[in-house]
Amino acid sequence: MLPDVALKPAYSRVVWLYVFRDFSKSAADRAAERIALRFGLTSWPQHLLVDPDSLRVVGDTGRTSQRFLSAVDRAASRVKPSRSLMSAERVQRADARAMELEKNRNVALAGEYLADADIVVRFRALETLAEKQPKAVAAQALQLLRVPNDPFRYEVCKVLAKTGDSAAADALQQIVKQPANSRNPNVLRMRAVTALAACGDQDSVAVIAPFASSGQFLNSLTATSVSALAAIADRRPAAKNAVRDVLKRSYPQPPAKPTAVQQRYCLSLAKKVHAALQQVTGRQVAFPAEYNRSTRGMLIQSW
Amino acid sequence: MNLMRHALLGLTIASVCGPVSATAGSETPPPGAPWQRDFGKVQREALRTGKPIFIYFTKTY
Repeated sequence: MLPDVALKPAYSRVVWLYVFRDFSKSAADRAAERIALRFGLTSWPQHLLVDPDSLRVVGDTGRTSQRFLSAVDRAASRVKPSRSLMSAERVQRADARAMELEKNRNVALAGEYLADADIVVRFRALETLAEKQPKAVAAQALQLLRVPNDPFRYEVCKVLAKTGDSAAADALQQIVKQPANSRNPNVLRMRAVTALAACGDQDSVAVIAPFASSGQFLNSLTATSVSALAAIADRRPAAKNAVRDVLKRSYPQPPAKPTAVQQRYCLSLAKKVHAALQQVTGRQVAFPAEYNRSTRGMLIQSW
Repeated sequence: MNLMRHALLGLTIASVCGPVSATAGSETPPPGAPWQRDFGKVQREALRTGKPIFIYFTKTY
């Protein structure tokens, strides 16, 4: 859509910013990453119309030229010229602090900047502490998980998946139930479920259950949830029966006429559920040569 | 004649798909719009002129 000449009327109505990431960690890539972090972006490609003062998103451009032009009209009517460049100067100073941490991954500085007013600076501090002092991150996990920024919360979840801090279980469960203020709720849920594998207990089973038993074999959240339940049962024997009951319901229903891709993903999830059940119960049950609606029913009965 | 047909077909495909495939996940922005890359400059210009910022985020695939 973007090279379309139909967009020409919008050329002078917005200021056009191109942000490309190659993940090389070069200076240019770091600069692009800082912009993505500022807007909590974790999936590509994305189009945002942004107010230059508040940096709030003021429009969704859609996927057609007509919708794009309408969105630009609406966004342009909401933005007025400003005599003050304070917000730009604030971002520039924050960028300088973030770059300071990129060059010098100092724990003391990171501890100070973790409470910074700017999300990019906070992220760089979190990144440093996650690597060098993960327990300091885990100790503040409850408040850090409330920060409404996806890459930031992903990083906190990653730390918790390593440290296994059970005090964070409630906050993680809350994210799984309702991933508020997220641009990428499915992935945020996945990160929280992965952390719950290490931090969760019996109470987490009911929270994860709907995602393990959703039957959505094309969604990675389903397999992640199955693995997390098995891990919780391993750590918390009291959760075993509840986990077993959820896993029995988690064998995916094969589509009536599956495509090759559906067949492959459905079978892969069924095998994952099966292995998890064997791990949780300590029993061995043969997996059928062919996985279909009939053998699925028999498998469920066999547990 | 066949060669000519192939050449014409190639040109047609290039003209239809060229700009899209050349810019999908590319370091080079799509042609046309006055793209910039410096967030600080863009924010200042947008503040002064009272225009929204349009940001296109893309990456290498």
